[in-house]
Amino acid sequence: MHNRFAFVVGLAVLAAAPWLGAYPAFMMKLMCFALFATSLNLLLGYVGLLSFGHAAFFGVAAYVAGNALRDHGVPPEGALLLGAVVGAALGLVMGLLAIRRKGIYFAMATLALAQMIYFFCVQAPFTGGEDGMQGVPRGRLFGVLPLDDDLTLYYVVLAIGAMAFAFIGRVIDSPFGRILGALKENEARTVSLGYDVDRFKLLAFVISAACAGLAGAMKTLVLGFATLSDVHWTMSGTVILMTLLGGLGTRLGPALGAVIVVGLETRLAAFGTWLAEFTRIAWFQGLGESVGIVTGVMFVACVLLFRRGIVGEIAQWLGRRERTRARLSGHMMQSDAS
Amino acid sequence: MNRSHIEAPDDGGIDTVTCEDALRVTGLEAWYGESHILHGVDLRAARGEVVTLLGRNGSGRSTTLKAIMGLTDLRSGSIRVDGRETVGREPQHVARLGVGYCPEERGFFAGLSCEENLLLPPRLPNVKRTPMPLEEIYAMFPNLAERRTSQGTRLSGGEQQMLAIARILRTGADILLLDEISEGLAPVIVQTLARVIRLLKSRGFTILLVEQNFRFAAPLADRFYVMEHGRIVDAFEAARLPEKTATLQALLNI
Amino acid sequence: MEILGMPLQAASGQLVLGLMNGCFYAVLSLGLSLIFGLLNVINFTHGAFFMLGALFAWMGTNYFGFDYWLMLVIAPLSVGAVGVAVERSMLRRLYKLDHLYGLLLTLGVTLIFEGLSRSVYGVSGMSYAAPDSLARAVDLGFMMLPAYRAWVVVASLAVCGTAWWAIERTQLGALLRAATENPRLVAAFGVDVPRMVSLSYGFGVAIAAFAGVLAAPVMQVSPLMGQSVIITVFAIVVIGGMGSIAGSVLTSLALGVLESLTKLFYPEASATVVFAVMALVLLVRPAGLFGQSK
Repeated sequence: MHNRFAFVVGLAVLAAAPWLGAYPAFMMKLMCFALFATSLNLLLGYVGLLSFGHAAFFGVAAYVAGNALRDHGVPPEGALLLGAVVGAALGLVMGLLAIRRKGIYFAMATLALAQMIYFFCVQAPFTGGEDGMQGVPRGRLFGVLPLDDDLTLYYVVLAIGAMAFAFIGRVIDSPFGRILGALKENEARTVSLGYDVDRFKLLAFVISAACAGLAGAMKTLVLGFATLSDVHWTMSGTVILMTLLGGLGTRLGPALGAVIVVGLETRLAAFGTWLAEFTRIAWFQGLGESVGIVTGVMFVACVLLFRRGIVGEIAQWLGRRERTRARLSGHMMQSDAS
Repeated sequence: MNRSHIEAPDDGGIDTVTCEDALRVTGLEAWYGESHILHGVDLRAARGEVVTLLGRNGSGRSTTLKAIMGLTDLRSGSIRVDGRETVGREPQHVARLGVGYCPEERGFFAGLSCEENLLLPPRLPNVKRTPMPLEEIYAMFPNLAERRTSQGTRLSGGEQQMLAIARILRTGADILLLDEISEGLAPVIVQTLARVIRLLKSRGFTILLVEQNFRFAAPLADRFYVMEHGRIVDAFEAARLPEKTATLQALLNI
Repeated sequence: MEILGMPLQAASGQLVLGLMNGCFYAVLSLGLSLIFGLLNVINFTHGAFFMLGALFAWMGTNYFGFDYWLMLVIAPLSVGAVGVAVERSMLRRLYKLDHLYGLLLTLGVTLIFEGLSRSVYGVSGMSYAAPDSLARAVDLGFMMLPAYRAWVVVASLAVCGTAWWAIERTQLGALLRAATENPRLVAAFGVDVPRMVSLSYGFGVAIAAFAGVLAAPVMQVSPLMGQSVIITVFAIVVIGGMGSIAGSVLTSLALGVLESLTKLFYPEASATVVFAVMALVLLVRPAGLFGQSK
């Protein structure tokens, strides 16, 4: 109830945003990454599986969608769908292989498999290698609505993003989602109750990968290009940071984390100049070059100081325990107890 | 705070002890995470005494031993080993003062033989005590001598218990905290353990026993404490045992 | 003489190269396993420490004129000290938590180390000369064996062998193994377990740096040299498991050779062959070749 209200309000604010001075292009980029982070959160925050190779789904879908839009005249809705399907397919393969190993080996396996995909992308001709895929047109939605105007595309992306976000929310609240939560809490007990735990993990993995793929395809549509950095492991790391920073296992956290991280990366140079003036330390001037260091520091700070992430900490502080899967303590299939 | 009265002689306050107790615990409280298990435990053991902690399961006896060793999450109060305060210190410091702990689950390491388990504890930087040499240990525990090359995990329950005790003797400890050593063992083995305890006592070891098995502990101990709900509710000397037996039976369901 | 269409000289040269790479992987996977076993942390920073070893060697030689042999001692010790500082200040707080936090923290530290190195040295590689005594080749009849590569193999295997002996055959090693199973009990014996853990982390990191110094003359010294190596080592660890030292050394050597031979016969696949093997092992023997320890 409370969530639905917040969702509608949030949507209204976002719809009004361009009229309040926000740049549609930048907002769209934020939405793509917000979706990407939220998709990872389904796996990491609600099931407890660390996928260290999520960039594979994002990046490959980005390439495939770009290729479809640019070289095969596929309309934008088709490209987005294709992105999701490609993500799901890759997720199925990767999931089938990686889920066989438990715990930390799972994370390492996803990283290694994603690295394999990265190398494949480096060499495959259709990606354009080091140069990347450029000049991807936006086409006409359903063959009718031209999307070249940023504002038009903004509302389309907002609609699709909202639907995807709502879908993920539905998955979390469904009986399936509750079993995932129980799995995270105590896998052995869930197994003893007769659930084929690996099947559940795999399905969650595929759903997460599909949404990540959708996010990647959206990104290509919005920005018009796809590059190797979309499939690189640092992208996998960055999306984990977004989720962690915003709040693992919270609904809004990852989106907030995405906004902060993307915002920071884009504005880092300007922020560095401001910081240099404020503190009179000249080294900050070069901050724009040091995205890696800043990301690293944020990771360290988050892991050591606020593991709950921003949204998590706010929820704590307000005294209301945001009902995340992490707080489920041995109760399964029970309705929301606020 | 509701503190029980300890009926022990010369309990003249924390700082004024004439002969130093090997172990003196005052107002000990302990927590595991959020659970407040011990609510103010007071006990003492003079050098060479055998003291037994009786009580039902869940009364906090094992936790008391762990707390003395420094293995609980949080502690407050006072724990003095040979007069030295240890309540804020790490387990390895407590061990270096000569305290040895034998946990209920005995604790063996996969892949190490019986003798390797005995050789495991390192020589501690402490001049007062020397680790008991292997020959002496084998003399005290002949069974272990026979099984010296067997895997630690393959020994029988009784042999494992003896190995666990022997292992702490190798650290040079002379204050032994023994948690439920008779548990699950056949009466014959339990008798052997009783002999071992008596032998150790005759050598001047100070022993704090946590025991469910009243019949095992009763003849060995010099003094008894009774615990309930994380507190000491009674304390008496061995001489008073006959008069206490009835109440103990009721309390412990024996 | 030819083997499978390749001249023997080229094939055996690649074999030695593969063996050498395998040795780097072996030393790194050893350190990774040791750290994981004791700290329950996947040390992503291992690649960065490898890089720092090479970088410190370069810095020591170019700024202070220290020679290679001296750096073989100084670099591991100093990088090891950095490692101990990282463990004490940060990693230590994460032991009670899910091990994914350890991975994420070390990822962050990696980004910081690489970023700082990059801001000073850029991304292009810097060359580091092998010591004169080793800058020659030995004529074995069927091939010319570069002396430096032989040295790398000997030195790496010596390190692995010493580590194995220390862990399996000494009392300290026994205490270390015991501490991975039951740290509280070991503390009750009077062992300063936290200090042992710090020093072990330092040791694991130091041997990674040692491998880095060994690698400096053969690879270009660059702030990014640890990155792809560490992910390959991860794949090797998934294949072999972290339960046995001998197992991970063997797996590393085999995969190093495989990687090299693939470069000879089917170069496009050489970057991915290790991962392909990992995918295969996951399909066929999910528990890893030598069984899972955790």
